[in-house]
Amino acid sequence: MSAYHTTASVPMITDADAGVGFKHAHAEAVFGDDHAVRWFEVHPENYMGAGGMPHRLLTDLRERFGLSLHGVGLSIGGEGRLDADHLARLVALNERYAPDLFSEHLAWSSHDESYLNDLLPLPYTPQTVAKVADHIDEVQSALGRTILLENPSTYVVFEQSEMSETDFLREIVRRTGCGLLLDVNNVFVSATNHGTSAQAYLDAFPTASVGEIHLAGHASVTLSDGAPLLIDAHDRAVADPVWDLYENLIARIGPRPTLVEWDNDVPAFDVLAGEVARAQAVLDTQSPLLGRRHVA
Amino acid sequence: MSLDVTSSGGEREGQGAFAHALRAPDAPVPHGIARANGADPTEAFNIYRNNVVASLADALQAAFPITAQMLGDGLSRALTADFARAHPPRSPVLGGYGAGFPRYLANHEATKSRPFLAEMALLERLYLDSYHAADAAALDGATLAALDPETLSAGRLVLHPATRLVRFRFPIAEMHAIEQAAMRGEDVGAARSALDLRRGSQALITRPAYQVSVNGISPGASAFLKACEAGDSFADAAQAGFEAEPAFDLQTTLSDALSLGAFSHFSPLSTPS
Repeated sequence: MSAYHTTASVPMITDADAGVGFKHAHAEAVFGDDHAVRWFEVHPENYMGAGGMPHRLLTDLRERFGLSLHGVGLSIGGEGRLDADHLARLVALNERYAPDLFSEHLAWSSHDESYLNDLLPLPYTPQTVAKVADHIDEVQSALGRTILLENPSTYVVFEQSEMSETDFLREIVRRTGCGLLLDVNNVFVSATNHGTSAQAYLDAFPTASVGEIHLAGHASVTLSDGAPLLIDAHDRAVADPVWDLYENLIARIGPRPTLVEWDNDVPAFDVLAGEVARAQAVLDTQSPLLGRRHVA
Repeated sequence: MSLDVTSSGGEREGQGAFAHALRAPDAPVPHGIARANGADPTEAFNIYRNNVVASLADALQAAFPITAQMLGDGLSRALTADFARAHPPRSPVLGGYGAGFPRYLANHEATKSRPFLAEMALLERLYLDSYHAADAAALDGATLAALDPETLSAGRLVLHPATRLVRFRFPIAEMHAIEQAAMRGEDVGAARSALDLRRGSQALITRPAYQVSVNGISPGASAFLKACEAGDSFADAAQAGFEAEPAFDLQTTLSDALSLGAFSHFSPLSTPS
């Protein structure tokens, strides 16, 4: 990722850094307060207007902190063609802001002419591997960089799936050379929903390709048959079992850039900074040279 | 098979069937969708149904905050969800979503008794357009004052990319200011009851730098600025202002509009509109 920075003065995200999603409501605290958060992530879809405050804030953010663009609208898992206009907008933002990290989702969100505004699941088959790999090739070639692909939260399964999600992702990495964004909360949510083991999923995950980790809070409902169903709500603190999975993961694979997502019922910035500090403390245990940076 | 356009969804496959079922609350869960434990997948599938509609309704309520407040929680929720089902966005850039929402409100039975709500929604849509519009330096008064009268008369004032002009049947700019104050927790009871709903209004929405402002303007000022927007010469625009309002105050209108940053530059040669 350092290839995208030619001057040492531009902040960069390193493996040992924890960050958080940027909210405009937090701008005053992010730019004005003394805090230990080193990088921020934004959804590029929120910065696709011609000008105004969003670009002003993103420019300031890029100057002072590490930056990650995390797309939610490209529909990489879609059956149809990628939206060429949307890809062009992503290319423009990537060139303008030179983010340290660029990620998208293993999911689809558009069909025909409609944008569905959710990250929808796909079956895991040889045909969908080929389609997703083609889309990622197209995106990486347009951007001129590799991207990170995020594992989804899912609420249902497909009878037609022929391979596990981890095997699917491993094959995508092999074909495209992309990296992976490992969302540990998504792992926990999906494992709970499908009655499988989150730890076994992480053990099977191609961790050598992980370029970023996500942590987030989830909601829980009980279905009428009594089974629990977790929802990837991003509306509260990271749950303890997710922290446990994360700590074990970092101890095993070493530090990776880690982001806390909190997108609904967003609290004051210092609450987010507290979640970031907790992730930073976990990273610092595996980064002896940087351990002194431990946040207060 | 793809020729089937009936509402049954029975002939659809793959993501077409999934997308159709998302928007049809009573449609069966698409074939091949399951729960890992073999249980009925309907409730789990409904999480996706709810995510799609609720997230779009949330986006609309965030884009039209004052309209939503005036509708009240229940009606706002119901109407934005209904709009989201009937008119899903065509782009993942949701900053532009909801252009049709003012018209939807204007035609909806539930808001018939409060026709000003559709106009408030239009104002909020224009506010967002202004918020996201291209950056440009604003024309300053000194530049204009340095022009000789003939050059000024023959040339034209070019509106800033973030400037929007709109005429309303109701006093929407005032209402917007009052409801913004209400959102901040101020007591607006007296201001609300003093508002004369029979009065039309004109608004100038613009953004000299990054903060959008909504300004009520006189009929003359509105006609003057609309003429500038249409590409009329300064002299013709001024004439339009006087025709719209005999008491039109050109000097004050100009100085107010300049201080709000309504113009980007002065173009010396008039071009036909």
